[in-house]
Amino acid sequence: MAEHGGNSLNLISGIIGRQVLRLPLYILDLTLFTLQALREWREQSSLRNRATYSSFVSQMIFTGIDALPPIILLSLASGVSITSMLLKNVQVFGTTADIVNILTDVVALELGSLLTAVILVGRSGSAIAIDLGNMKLNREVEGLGLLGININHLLITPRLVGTSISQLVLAIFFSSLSVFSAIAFNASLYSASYWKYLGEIPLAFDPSDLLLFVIKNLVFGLIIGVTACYHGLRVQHSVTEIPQQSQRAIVNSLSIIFILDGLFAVIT
Amino acid sequence: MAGDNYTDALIEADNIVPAGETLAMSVRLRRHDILCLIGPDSVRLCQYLHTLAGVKPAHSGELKLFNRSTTSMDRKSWREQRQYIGYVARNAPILSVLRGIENVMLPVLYHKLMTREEAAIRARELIEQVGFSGDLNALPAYLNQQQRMQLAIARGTILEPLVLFLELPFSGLSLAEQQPIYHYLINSVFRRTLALATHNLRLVRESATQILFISEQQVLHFCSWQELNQCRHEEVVTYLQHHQQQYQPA
Repeated sequence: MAEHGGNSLNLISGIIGRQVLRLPLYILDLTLFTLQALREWREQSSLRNRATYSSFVSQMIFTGIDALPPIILLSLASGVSITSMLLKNVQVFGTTADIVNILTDVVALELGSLLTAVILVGRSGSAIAIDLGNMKLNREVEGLGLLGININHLLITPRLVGTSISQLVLAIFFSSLSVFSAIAFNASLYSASYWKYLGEIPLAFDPSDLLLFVIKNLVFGLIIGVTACYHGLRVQHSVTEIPQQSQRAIVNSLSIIFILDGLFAVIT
Repeated sequence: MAGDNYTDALIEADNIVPAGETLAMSVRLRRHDILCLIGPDSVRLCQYLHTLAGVKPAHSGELKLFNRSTTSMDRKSWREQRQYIGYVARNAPILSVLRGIENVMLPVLYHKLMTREEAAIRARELIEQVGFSGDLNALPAYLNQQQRMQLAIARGTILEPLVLFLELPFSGLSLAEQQPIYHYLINSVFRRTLALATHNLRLVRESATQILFISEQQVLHFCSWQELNQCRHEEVVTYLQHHQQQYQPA
């Protein structure tokens, strides 16, 4: 009886231990995966390779250019709904400086990055995970290895670099359009005086905040690409693993991005 | 280039046992050899071919590729060796996101051996040689099994490998569909060494210089079709009777 109780205790402590270790091990695994991909890229200067360069361009088109319609739609929608309401309400009790600060700090530097990341996770992250998962399952990845092709050069690095650059460019685009549409909407609906904020906003950015914005978006993009590639390549034997891994890629990258965004906010 | 000066064996397997198997295989592949792996179990044949090509590490025994032991090879050297050892896997898994011709051009572009224009010309030549008649600009999903296999063979040979391994290249193809691939393989022998897992006994009869019969109970080595035909092992006889009906001489 006592032995049975001891076994149960061991079992429970084992389960708890495994659960506690899972997160740090996952983060460690993801970090090593990223470092390996970037190290091999740096060693080989793989973007100078024609095959890799084509893969990078395709990724930029898919993640950057093809994502423009949903980004435009969402930035206009958020500008007209959230930002314009914020603008209208803060104007009641705040000064011009307060309003400009809110537009730069909250909308341009914060909301733009997060919403862009959410779109890219849902759109490109899931697609990359499914794409790589299918390639792995159909032995296409193995076929590349048999030709002496390093999959980090051809499949992983172009996706990581592509999502990072796309996230940065799209976040800038999103933020600009969101702020502009809010001001234009309020100016046309309530008062032309709203146009004055347009000239003041560019002057209100702190260079260090801008630098942090660039770093943050590059990191967000990298996380989207890394989690998608990592989970895509974890598909082993069955088609059923593809939706499981792509769902994990989406949830995990969103969680990491929100946690990191909190950490970036603490830094500033 | 690795293996350019080899007069001796290009690939030397000494009692290698693939992972998950129990029987050892020994074979020496010289220039222009055609080694055929035959036997009742296709999966087992592919396992042995995989191990012989150095794709998967052997459970035991020693494998030398171009006189270099695979056990002393790091990942980078292994990757470099792959340029000289072509391997066309079963079901021809070419890259689904690239068009047909791009798939064939990919290895030379990646290894920076040709410009894009040169690669396109070379790819078209090879594609013509394998008898491909489909749309070169179509994605693999829109091609049939024969066309995918032809592209996979063209992709596997564009790097001019010294040895070409093929996993069941005729699997799932009708006799008519097998013809262009068969002729290409036979005609390309003067340039390279072939090792293939196959049930196509016509190719074995007409071209094999070495034959390995692999089953659960035994691995038998034969130097010619005649030697194989004279073998009285029950498994060999049954196998030959079963498959010979499919590949009667033309």
